[in-house]
Amino acid sequence: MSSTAYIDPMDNPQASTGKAAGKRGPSPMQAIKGGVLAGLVGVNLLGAYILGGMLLTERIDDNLAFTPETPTEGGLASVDMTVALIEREVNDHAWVANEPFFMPGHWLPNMRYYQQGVVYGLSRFAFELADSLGRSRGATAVDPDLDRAAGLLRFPGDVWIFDFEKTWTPVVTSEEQYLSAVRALEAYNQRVASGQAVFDPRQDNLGAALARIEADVSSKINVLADHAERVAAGEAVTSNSNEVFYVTKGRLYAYAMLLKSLEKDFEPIIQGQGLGVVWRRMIESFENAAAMRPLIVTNSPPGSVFIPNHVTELGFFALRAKTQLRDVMTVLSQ
Amino acid sequence: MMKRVSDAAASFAGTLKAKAGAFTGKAKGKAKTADAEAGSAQASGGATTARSESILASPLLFRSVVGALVLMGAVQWGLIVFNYWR
Repeated sequence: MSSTAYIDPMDNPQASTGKAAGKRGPSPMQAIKGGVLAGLVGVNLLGAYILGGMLLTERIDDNLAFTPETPTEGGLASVDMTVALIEREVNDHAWVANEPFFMPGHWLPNMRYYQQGVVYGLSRFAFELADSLGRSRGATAVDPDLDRAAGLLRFPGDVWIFDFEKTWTPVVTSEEQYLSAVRALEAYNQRVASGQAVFDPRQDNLGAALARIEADVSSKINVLADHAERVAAGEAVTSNSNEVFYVTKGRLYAYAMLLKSLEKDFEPIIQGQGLGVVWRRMIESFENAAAMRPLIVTNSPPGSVFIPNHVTELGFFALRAKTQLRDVMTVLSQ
Repeated sequence: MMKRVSDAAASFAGTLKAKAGAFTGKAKGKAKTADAEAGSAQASGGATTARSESILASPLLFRSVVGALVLMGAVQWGLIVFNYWR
């Protein structure tokens, strides 16, 4: 067996015809092989970039012990919490809801749904702040900072720096809008601390804030129930069970954190009405829902022996939280 | 009996040695060819060219590298798709 027999003629056909000497450059077969190798290396590099980025980026932060690092002295705990949660999701963790397909965050749909759920819950509270908590009924005008913050937080979460469907020039991103809302809320809280802005901690105001939360929780319970009914009827709705689950989880997490803060802001009313225990149980129900974190969101028909239905499990806790919200609202309305 | 066994063992060892020698010779021959083709290229660039050409020239090495890349890519993209789906 000689060394020349080692070279595959398919790899170097010129060698078999004696034309190898003096000729350079790859044969067609080698060019094909080189192309295959280059393609595979490219696919692997892209996979490593996306997978590595996903591992570094993914953070579905449902820390129930979260507190604002620098609360405003004399300000509202609920506003501090809103500010801290937005800053955490936008600055501390990456805001992935608007990342295009070539960025790792695009491949983290659960985080995207969760973040959007959190911000949606906070936006509803900001609207309540502007509409009733931050003004003395019809006697005062809407606070301009709260009005601005409530509007900015309703901005869609999926607007990236380029939105080619509308314009070829860079646009204001979702993160920038949310951070503008943060600055407006901070300005309002500073003015509350210095006594220059209105905060009206009345019993009916608290009741109205809870009613707004309850309306949203009811809405999500209906979405969960609709989803579960369609699965029970044999309809294949597995494609959006993650979305239904994580959006609801995000909203319930935001409400759990806000209710904890509202307990501080409305302490005289809650204690005065003897609501301390009921309030704590209500928060626990929100926390139970927000803490659910299955490795895979499964969506089997209700009553399945082996595979759970996480959507209905979440719905159970949401329904319990809604019932307890109703209890508190009933007491406050008397 | 013992002698016949030892003769057979020696013969088998000789065969193995001969095959190993042939394999080493092949590898050396291939390396020489690759080195020659690298020509007057600069040291580092030349080494890389020689390595890539040797991968393309050796069917076994080429298949091994392609297999490893396909396996690695399948694992990576499998994890990405699984995470996206879950």
